[in-house]
Amino acid sequence: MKGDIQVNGYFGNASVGFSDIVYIEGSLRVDQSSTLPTDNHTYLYPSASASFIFTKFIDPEILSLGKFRLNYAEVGNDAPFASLTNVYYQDFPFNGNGVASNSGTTNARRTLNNPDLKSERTKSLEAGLTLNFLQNRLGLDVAIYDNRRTVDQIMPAAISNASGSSFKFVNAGEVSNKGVEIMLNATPVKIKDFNWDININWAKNKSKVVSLAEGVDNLQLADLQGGVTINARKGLPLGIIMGTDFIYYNDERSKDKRIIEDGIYQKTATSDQPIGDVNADWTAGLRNSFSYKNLTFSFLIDWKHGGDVFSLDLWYGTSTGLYKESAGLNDLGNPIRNYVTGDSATDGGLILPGVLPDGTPNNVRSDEMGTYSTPLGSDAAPNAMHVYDASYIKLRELSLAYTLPKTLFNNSFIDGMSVAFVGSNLWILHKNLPYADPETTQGAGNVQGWQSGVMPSSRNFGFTLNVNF
Amino acid sequence: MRNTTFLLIILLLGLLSSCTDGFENLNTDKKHPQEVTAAVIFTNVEIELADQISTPNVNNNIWRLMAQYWTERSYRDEANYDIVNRTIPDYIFQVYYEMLYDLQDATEIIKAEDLEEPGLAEKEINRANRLAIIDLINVFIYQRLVDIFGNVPYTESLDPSNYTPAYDDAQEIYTKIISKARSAVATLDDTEGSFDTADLIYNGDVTSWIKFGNSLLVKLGIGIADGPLSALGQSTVEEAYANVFTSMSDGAYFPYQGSLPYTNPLYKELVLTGRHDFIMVSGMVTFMTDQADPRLDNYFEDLDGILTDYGASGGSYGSKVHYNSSIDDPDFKGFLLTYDELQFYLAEAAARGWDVGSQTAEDYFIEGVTSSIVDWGGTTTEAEHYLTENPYSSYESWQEAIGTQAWVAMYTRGFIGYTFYRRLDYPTILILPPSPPTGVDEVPTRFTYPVNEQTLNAANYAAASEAIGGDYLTTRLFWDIH
Repeated sequence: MKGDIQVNGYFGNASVGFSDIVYIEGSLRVDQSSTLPTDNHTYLYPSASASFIFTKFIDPEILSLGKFRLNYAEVGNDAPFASLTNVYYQDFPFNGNGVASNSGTTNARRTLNNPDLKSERTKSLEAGLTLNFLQNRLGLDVAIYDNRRTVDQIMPAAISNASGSSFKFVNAGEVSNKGVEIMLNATPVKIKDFNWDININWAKNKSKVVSLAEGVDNLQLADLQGGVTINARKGLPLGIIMGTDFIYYNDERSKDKRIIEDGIYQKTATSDQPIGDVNADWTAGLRNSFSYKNLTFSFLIDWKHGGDVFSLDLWYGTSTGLYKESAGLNDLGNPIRNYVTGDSATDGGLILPGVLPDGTPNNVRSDEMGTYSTPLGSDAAPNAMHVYDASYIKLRELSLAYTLPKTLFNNSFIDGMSVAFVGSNLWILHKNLPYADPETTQGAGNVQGWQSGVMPSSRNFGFTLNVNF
Repeated sequence: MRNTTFLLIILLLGLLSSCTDGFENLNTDKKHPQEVTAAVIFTNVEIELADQISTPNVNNNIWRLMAQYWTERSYRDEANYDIVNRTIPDYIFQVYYEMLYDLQDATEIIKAEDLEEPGLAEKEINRANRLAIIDLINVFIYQRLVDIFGNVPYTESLDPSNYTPAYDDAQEIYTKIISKARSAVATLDDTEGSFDTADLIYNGDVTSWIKFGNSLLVKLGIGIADGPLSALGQSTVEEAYANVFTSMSDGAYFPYQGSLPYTNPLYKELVLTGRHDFIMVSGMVTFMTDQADPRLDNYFEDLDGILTDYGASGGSYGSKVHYNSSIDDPDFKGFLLTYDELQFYLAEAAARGWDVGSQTAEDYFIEGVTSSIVDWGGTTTEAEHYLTENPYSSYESWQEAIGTQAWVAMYTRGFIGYTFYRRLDYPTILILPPSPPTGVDEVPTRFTYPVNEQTLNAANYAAASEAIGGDYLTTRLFWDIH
């Protein structure tokens, strides 16, 4: 929705420095926003930071910069435009009669506005250490953050449809994020015309839903095809995938303890089982760049470790026989797609890994592998079967640049010229999700961890010419 | 600590002032009104209700499949009772509870209207009529919800501050909505009008709404004819039967238009989107062919094509038997409650020995079949001939006669046909498709609750599931005892 928002901001800032060693800074901001209730539209948020530079106490030949920093900041935020008062949505008149409802047309999911919204707030506490050695040839930056919380986050929360609406704007509670970010820069080789720079970063974040709006145990972020939901659940990370799960023998959660009956995986009756977490365990990046005289070559590798995704494509495709898992020969040397008739010369089907309900290894051949509804997908399997690890290692970027010697342009109006060749998303070195790029999600805002109709991700090649006049 | 410097900067950009006067106005959505009349909301509910009942969209209405009137050719999940993947129950909750919320809103607006002289007494009657009509539609919707799921939220529903409404017992809901419909019918006073042209079904005609209300009471009473509320069902029907629809033209139809946007959703979903997936089922077509049913050509087209067993996979669309193309005309009417439907309810009441006048079950049965044939474009002569060849007495029981013929007559109105089948267990033509979900070994008797409710309303969902005997497709509702 489009609309004007007015925020009146008042800002105060003070900073103090002692002998280029200690700096302290503080600020205070007061905002008044038009999108909040008139009796509660003013909110105040402070920040403070301190840094301590200890370079002077250590031999400068070894340590070129040493700095410790500590920040605390709060940031306040207002509500989206017009989210306080409910309005009606008009439709085309029917034979001259006006038509309006509390929501749009059928299937437009209704969001209730809320006259009691408060401003939301993010609080963050961060400590950091920067160390540069050997005339900046080696640098290390470590940051630890804690209590980075969104307090009273304003969002449309999914509520039971029996309330008459699908969503309501609420101050949804508190999510904590704790993490570490490490960055290392080095120049291992630096000789006359040649330079080699390395830049490595590594980050780990742990989110946790600390509290939710009153009366809400589980905040549903998305409700998706396949009967899968993405949720914020108290005590768990933000972004839990829920759906139907396997049933395990004696609750031993290993692949070979899944219970199979009549060739079909047993699954939970309800779709409220946590079957995945969209959050990565950690991410990392490595950039190498080499320059020789005017020529620079560099590449960047991105690594995401962990995080889950539900693939709707595999969910349906394995059921209908689109993927190679439903073709080929089985252990008897017969086509998998043959029906199971009890004749080992022709029997198709697969013996799925798992156990029978009595705990003995499965020995029943799954039938229907040649049909529209194999036991591997949407028709019979639990959602958990198609939750995949979304890790990847990618060659994200590769570039080669050449700066033309300035002497070429003497006596001309051109000041300098460089050419560069850049390729991005060139190669997925490793992934665990079959047939698709795990980075491609239906993601919009809070919705991650669900893929449908994924297009192949594209490699981009570019050629750049820079001319300075 | 040489060169000690001391630096202090204080920056103040302003002081709190009162330039917030225009805030409320600024934060107002000027494209959408904050107040409307109850009439425009009511009009919208009629449209949405008719759309939800008429649409063949597989995301929210698969009753034509559940009744095995149609099946699917290539995307066969829904015909094979997979209702979870497309979260069909979630849509059903959403759509119906939104309508109920709008009706509640309209009720509050009407109650708050400040009526004045002159003609205050007449205006009060008009107001009471409008409130009673809203109540009847509310009852119509709740009966449908209960007949789909069993226990659903009722007393705690529609409260925007209650995110987790409790579920009510299905029998209690039936009892409450019957009493609500009774008092609405008693309130209706045809000396005054109601919604006038904003009522797209009856043009505000209160006499028609009185007939509708009594017909709805008959439908409610028959709905609980079996099971623990049977006595209430009987008294409800006996009290109402004398004032019901008396001809096909009394029925509640929605007047879809010949041009967009208010065309029948069948036209939007089948013609405009070019969906060529619904094909005709061997069970129904073979049965009607064997009986030489005069409606065959009105229901179907390309009868020389290939028939498909319900839920089975099929070849090319073109080679199949199709529905009659009049069904996807933009102005094909929407059915809410009709005279022929009611004749089968009354036939059932008479067969159960309830007092519904001097007409016998067979009389009502003949009237139901005849009205259906004539409504679909046949003649009374054709109807007489058909009934001579396939008389009431040719069936083994009244359940089979009424169940089978009501099912045939309710073609395209999947939910009504399916509900007759569930209550009377006839016709036996309905089969289990080839790939039902694990654990489903008979034709489903209800829908499972929305996936949404499991995550958003977990405790109440669990309690309701337990109360009805498990949240399964095959759990039987309280009135479905056979």
